Amino acid sequence: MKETRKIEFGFEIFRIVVALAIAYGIALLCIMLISEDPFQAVYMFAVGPFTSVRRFGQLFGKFIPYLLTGAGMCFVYASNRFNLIGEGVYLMSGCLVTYAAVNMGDMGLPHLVFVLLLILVGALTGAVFGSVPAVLREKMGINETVVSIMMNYALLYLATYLVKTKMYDNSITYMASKQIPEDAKLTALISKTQLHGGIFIGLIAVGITALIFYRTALGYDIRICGANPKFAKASGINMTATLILAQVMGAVLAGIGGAVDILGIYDRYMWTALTNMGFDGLIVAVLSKKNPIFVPLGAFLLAYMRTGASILNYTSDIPIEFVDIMQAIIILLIAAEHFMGRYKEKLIFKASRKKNEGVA
Amino acid sequence: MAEVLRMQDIVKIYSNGFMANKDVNLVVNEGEIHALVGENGAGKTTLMKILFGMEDFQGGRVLLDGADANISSPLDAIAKGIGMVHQHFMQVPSLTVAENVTLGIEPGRGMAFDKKEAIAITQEISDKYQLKVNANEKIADLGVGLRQKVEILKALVRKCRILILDEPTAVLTPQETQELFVQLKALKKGGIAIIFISHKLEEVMELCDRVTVLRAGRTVGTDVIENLNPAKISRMMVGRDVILEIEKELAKPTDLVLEIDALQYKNAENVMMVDGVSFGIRRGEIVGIAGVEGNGQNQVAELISGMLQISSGDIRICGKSVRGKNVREIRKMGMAYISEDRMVYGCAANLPIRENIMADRIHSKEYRKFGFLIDTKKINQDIDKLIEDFEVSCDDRTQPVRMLSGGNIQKVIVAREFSSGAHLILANQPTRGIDVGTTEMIRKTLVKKSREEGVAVLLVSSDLNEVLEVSDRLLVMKDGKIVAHFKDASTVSEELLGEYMLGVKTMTPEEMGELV
Repeated sequence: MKETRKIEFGFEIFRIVVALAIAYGIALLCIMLISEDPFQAVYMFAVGPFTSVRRFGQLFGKFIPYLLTGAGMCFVYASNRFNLIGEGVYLMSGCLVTYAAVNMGDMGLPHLVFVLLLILVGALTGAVFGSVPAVLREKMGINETVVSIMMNYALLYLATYLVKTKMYDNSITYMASKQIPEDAKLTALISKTQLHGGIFIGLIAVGITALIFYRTALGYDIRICGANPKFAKASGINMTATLILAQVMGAVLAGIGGAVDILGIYDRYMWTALTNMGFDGLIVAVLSKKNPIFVPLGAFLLAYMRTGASILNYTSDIPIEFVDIMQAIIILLIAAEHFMGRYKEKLIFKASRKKNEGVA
Repeated sequence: MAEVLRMQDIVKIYSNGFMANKDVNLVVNEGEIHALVGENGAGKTTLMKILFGMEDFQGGRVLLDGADANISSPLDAIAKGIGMVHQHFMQVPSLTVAENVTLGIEPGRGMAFDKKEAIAITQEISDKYQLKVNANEKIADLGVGLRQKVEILKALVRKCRILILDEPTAVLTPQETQELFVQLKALKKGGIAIIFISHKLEEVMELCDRVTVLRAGRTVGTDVIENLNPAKISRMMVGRDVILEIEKELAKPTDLVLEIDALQYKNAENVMMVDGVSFGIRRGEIVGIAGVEGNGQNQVAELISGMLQISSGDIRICGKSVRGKNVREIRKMGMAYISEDRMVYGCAANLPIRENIMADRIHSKEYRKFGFLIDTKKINQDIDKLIEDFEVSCDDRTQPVRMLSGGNIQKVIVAREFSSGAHLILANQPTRGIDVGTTEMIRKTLVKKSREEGVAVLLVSSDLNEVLEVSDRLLVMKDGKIVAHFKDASTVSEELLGEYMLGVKTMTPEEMGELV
């Protein structure tokens, strides 16, 4: 069977490459059709993120939170739950972290302590709100997808309410909180870019996630529960505790993601719509095949695409929404196990035939 | 006689690379009963699934009346005159026989269902072939034998010319079996070709005209029944003369490990599946439970393991009750469980061999490092040792289980359950559908565990050879009750055991004696 395994592995990589190629092909075709200056547009889309330090930094501005929400969604996705609370938690965490930062600004805490304390606020926000759909699902069997999506909107409006009533800055004309004190912000690694110190937090989180997945009993439990819950029960795994923990961990990482993002690149809290960062975390988890080790790759790829799209948006006549189409195609092709499945089977059949020929 | 079906050089490879059929040939004539025999895992069911359009195939041809038939789905197979009676009936219990039979081909105009016409159609075919089914009765009120006839009726009403019966007698009493045979012979006279899958060779000798034998996915041969006898067929099936014999010393049972007391279990439909079962198993002995499948044996095993909740009565392991405990707590009390359905309860197909073996012991202190990490080095050493000891043929410990053959998957499962340090092993159909070599290894290991380590073993199996060869004591279950107890399994013949299994004979409590 060694052959089968080689074929499957090689095929997996091949499939992702083909998915990307098809998506980019369709994107290029769209650009050709709708743009006045297609060559410039294509150039901006594909190479744009690497054309200046500022743009490259912009890519990292997305990459950093994707590391966290992506690692978080690995927990959720690997346990085979579709709990999307990460989206609401991300935003709520941003809101509460800002509130804490504004109110603790004159306490004179050392920079590092202040920042870590704020990140802890984000993590706690994740734990508190993330446990709601997880507990409802595992203790009472209520569908986690429905609860989490409903809660996302509840959290969005709760955050908006908090900004209006507790955090509003009278000196400005748009809806935003008071300014986050400089002391609370994550230091930019390259000044005037969005590449900030949060990258270390993101990479550490990915490392810890991988460690939990493959080097702790909990990681084994989570993967077994996700792969076959009936087997998990029969081999005596505590499923309720494992699955609640997995979903809460996912929300904690999303909460840290929200905190890092707001402290890294914002001056004030000003999210009045869902940020999509939580949902994007799921995309990262899908791209990395729920393996935390591949999260940086998945996060980079998605960040690159998103940045390319936004550069395209302000340098040409292509709307930003069109990158969503590309993304949808890529996700669809990668998530669809049977995409090119016939081709894979043919390879396996051929190998099996060859092997069986000798054994008449 | 005209040839109706020819399956020629059929090759079927599953997507894990396993070749289930290798150049298999099967030719069936009009008006014959053709037996398809072979051991578990020989590829009979796969071949029939191909014929019925449930599986695609990678090589060969299927010809109906000499012409290529591209059977794309079961619906297409039915349209082309192929009918299949599955082991598990496909029926709606709350509807009547006529409603079930005409489901999908309802007579009537537009949206209106013509009930009278449905009854008439059903009754006509039933009378024509003397199936003796009342079209007006509800399926839920019928016994197994009659429900099987409804399945046959369904195929006949759809005008089938080739009828596939997948081990139809496994669920029947001897009387019902005889009745079925009379009716199948009537169908044969009506020109219908019947493919009869079985491994009961007496039945094949009695009923069939020709026999095709499969072994390890290949056709061994086809011959008319006159040229064959059970011994000959059996040799073709297994490729050797003797059935497996296990040598074992006499058991020296000591302390009670498992005690079961007036155990009852009602399923979700409120049917009493286990009804007042009491017995015990001591250290160092193997107790077998035989029975026709579905008579409560599986539930007894699942109740002990904690997969099902006891309705009343009690189960004690080493004196401690398992009531209200979950699988984890019961495993901690020293229970190991090889479950009946290995792909559903026995493994996680997409995970590596290592994860599958570690599933029940990953929290154990011996694999702990620095308090919260696991000791990967020790895990890898132990897994490699188990892979070697149990001769699992694989690339390495990280290979996903789904890529292994059935026998090797079962080896991974028994490697886990036999190495957990349990003093009670529940082996529920431990060798079903796997190759002879693995079967022998598993049976020998069960005996070794009981003799050398003093483990108490409960063996639930519908393989008579297995329960007779491996067990020290033997119980027979029928309708959720224990109907026979043999203190020495080696003195029992298959025929006698069969009579108790089918309810022809029942022991009185006095005859059974103490069940511990």
